[in-house]
Amino acid sequence: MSGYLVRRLALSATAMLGVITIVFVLLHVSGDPASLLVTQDATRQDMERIRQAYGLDRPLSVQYARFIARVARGDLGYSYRQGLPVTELIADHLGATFELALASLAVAILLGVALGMAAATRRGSGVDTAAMTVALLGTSMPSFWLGLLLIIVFGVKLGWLPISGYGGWDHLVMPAFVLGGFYAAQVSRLTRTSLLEVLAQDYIRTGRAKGLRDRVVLFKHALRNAALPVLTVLGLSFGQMLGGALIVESIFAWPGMGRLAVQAVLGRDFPVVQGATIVGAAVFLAVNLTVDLVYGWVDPRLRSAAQRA
Amino acid sequence: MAGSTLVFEAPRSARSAGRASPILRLLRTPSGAVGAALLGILLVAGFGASFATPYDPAAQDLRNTVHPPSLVPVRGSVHLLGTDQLGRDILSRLLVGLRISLLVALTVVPLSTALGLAVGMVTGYRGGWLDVALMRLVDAQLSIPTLLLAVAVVAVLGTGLPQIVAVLVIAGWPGYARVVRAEVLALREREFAAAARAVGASDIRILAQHVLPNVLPTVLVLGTLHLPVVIIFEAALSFLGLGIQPPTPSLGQMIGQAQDLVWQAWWMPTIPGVTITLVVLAFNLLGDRMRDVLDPRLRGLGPV
Amino acid sequence: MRRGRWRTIVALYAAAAVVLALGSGVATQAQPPRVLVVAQSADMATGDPAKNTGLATIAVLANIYDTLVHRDASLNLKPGLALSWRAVDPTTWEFKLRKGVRFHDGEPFNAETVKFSFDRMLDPKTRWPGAGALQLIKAVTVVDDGTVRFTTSQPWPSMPRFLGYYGMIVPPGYLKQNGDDALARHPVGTGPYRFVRWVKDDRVELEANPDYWGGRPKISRVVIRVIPTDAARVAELLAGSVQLANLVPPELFGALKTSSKTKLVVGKSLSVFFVIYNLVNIAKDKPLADPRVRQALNYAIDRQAILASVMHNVGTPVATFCTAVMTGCDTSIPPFRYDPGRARALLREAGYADGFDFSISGTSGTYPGDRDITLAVADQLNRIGVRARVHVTEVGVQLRAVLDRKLPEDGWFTRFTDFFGISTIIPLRAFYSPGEWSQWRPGYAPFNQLVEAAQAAPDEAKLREVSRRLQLMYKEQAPAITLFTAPNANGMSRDLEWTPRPDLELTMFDASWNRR
Repeated sequence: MSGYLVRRLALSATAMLGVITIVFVLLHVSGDPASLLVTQDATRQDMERIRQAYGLDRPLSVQYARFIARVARGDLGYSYRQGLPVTELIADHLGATFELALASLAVAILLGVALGMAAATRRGSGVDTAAMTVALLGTSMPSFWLGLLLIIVFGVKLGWLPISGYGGWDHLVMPAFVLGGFYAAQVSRLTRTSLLEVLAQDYIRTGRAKGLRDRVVLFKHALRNAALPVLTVLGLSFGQMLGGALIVESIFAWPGMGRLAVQAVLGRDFPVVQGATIVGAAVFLAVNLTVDLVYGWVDPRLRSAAQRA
Repeated sequence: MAGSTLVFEAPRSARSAGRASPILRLLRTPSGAVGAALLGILLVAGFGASFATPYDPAAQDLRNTVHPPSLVPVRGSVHLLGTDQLGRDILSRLLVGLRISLLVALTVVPLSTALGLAVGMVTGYRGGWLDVALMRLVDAQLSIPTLLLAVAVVAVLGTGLPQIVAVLVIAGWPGYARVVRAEVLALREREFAAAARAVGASDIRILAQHVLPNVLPTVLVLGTLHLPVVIIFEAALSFLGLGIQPPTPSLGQMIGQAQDLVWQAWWMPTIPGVTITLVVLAFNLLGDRMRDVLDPRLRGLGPV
Repeated sequence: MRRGRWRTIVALYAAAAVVLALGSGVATQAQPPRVLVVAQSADMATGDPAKNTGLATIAVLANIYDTLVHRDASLNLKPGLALSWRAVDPTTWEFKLRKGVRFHDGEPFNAETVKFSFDRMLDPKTRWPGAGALQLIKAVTVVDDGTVRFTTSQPWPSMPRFLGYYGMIVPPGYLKQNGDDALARHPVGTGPYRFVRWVKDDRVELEANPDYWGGRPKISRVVIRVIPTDAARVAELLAGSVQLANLVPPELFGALKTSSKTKLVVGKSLSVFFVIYNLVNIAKDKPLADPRVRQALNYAIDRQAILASVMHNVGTPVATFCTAVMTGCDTSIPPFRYDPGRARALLREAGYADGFDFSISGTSGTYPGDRDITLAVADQLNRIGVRARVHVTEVGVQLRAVLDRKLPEDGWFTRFTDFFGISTIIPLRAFYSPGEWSQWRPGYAPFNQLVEAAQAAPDEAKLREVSRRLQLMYKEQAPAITLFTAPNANGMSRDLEWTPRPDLELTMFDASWNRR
């Protein structure tokens, strides 16, 4: 087990190094990043200042080495636009993203698993078709469009929920629903399939034959075994939610990392884009690693299979 | 409880002895038929009707802006889906935008596939330092949440049609490479490969004649999963203002621009939104059924 | 059976809880709020006025800090922290300061604090982005506790106007004790509102300063929130959770006007939209080298039509480069009228009866309506035979190309703003050949000379005279297609009374609730 852990950690570490390199290359491929910061107020002196402050006039290899060293120390540089440390900006925004991701995960689980279970246990019926149609639509609708529709209906016309911003649970409902809904749709389909496969297994039939009640069979045996792939997907989805909720955060003005990244791109604030990408990747890797480890621990068969890969 | 209908039959297996061609089998299912029909309509609209739009998509009429859909002519012209903020015909723009979205998807997927296939096959077959290096790159890139990566690349490359295709290909190829490599690794050890090597066939010939045909079905499946994702990604980037730039219309861009007008012109974001949903739906339906037909083991594998 | 009953009870409780929660939310929205919630599109960058001059920052800090000179909503100069000022000689200004003013932390305000603030602002180590605007200030001297003198390197008659916008006074004691970072996070000034809290990228909370020298503000608590998406900002205004949303783009005017809870209030504007010609080292045989062609394109634009459609009737056509609220602007000079016939005639005269190609560099989302205005302009040019095409580019890329004078297109759409309110500033920034944004090189010597004369004008009368001549010359030479004013449109609750400022500051000192 510890060998597996060490190996996975090493893989994650090299992946992180790769991410940092990608991020560095991206920045410098564009040529002179400071030059794109021009606005009608910020002029040449500001560009020069930035260029010098960030050492952009040094040779590339020197910059790369310094960049790696800085990131290893936890220093992600300073925002071009706001002059504040990137780590601080990200720390200020990460909490909001976590909140949203957790709430969305709850939605994905509650909605997705419930829908999937309902469809699997009533396979072939109207409920099944309806549930799977809803799920299909859920994965087909662009999140920004769904978000807009919800804002119009619940925020403006009915006035039940606040349209945007950060606040209590009522501010969280719509963004969580839009972000979580997409994954809920996927989870429901997966739950259905997984549950169906398990339900067809012999030991289920044995249980039934032994006279156990349907409900016991379902919850005690079927669900637990069907849960594994679903949990994996949920874990991966959580990682995606943490790093990629850009659209939802933008529409709902949710002050998370995704919105920070989008505004940084629009404002050509490269250090922030870099920092957000690195942190997003780190979080994603951490979540994946956790999911892998939990999975490996729970199902010993996979551990050995993974070790061989 | 009355009405409990826990089902304990074996799942319907698509491994039924179907002699009929995969396409026919696909079309026989209700969702496959619907998906195919929908896609057919959208393709005709996007690649046919969009060249014969009722009006020039760029033709402005500042005296007839933000007009709702109607069958009644206004100032001599009928705008079935209304006009936008510059008085341009929405139906015409929708058709061209549909064409652009389809074009992007149908360009990005083959390019990503080709690139991922090439890298996956070479690294899987040859191994060595090239394998290690490229796979680290793949791992690294796959660690970055996709939209974040796309947005970061846009920060560098800028916006516009060719840039967006590049961004989406960059974001898409690693997924293919990783899966292809795994398959090639397995295939490498099979008898036919060893036999071919023994006979003295060159690596390239082995790859082309033996490996490629075996890898192709998997790649096709991945492609069907990738198509709807590309459509939504391009729309998302254009919605954020980071994708296709005006005056070229794009469905996501139309929603983004109409965001503010949603109060007076509900149809302006709704119509392109419905269109995107229909395109993605069509690809999803067909993709699902194709996966059933091609490889039942992959059934239920949603786009993750 | 038992299980079934439990389930029903739980469901009922859940339903009741939901209804109560929603109901209470709805009920509290019915009462008129005490807190004024303002929404703008970006967060302030820092609480230290010497570190940033961005719009969003100044908009907030104008509540917390004061400048020596204040301006009212028509940009007339009024006493601020200075009671009066006079020019002792052409290069020396003397300001008499207000007595008995204290900073929010209790520190006294006096001439020393003024000297400290300006020295700090103009110190190159501070890197204040606005230093260029005040570069003529050579020294600040304390005469006595209530008097301060500014020595300038050249005569600068408009200095008080500049000090009406720049030059927020900061507390030296607080800074010496706590350092720069503390002021950046927790601003302390002399202004009508005190800083309470700053949640980054979300809101700044302010409370009224009861000891403000101008009297206690009528509204005791103000929250300035950040809502970058225009639609979201307006949506909150319509829902009532925000009572003032600034810089509303034209597409959303309709929503504000139709609602019974909100109103659209348009302020005076200090910004003008242009499509500026790229005349950098232009060859004599190119179409744009001929002033008749440059004028022709101006006649081809139906400004009223664009204003009525894209800008929803907010804005007025501008003749040259200044708006009515700017000092020195001669508003009797009429804008180019819409006359496609004259446009074609001028083109024929210049030898371009068959038109020519004209590419425009445009932006999308940088200025309200920018994309659609540029597209409409291109469309109207096409109708007189000029083959106009728009390239939408990133504003950073566009501005970089302009600064480097490597703009590939024949024209660039942009907006110029003059926060100081002096008519000759925009020509200085945009058209004066040595200026860094100017694409008119080598340009037209008489125009450049007039711009220089305007900067050296010894008083307002002379400034008006020079400005008028400059405007007339501008119409003749037409270095750009002048369009119209950029909107200063704000959405407000109907029960809020406040006049939007042309300089876009969000000072809430004058805001009040009207009793309905």
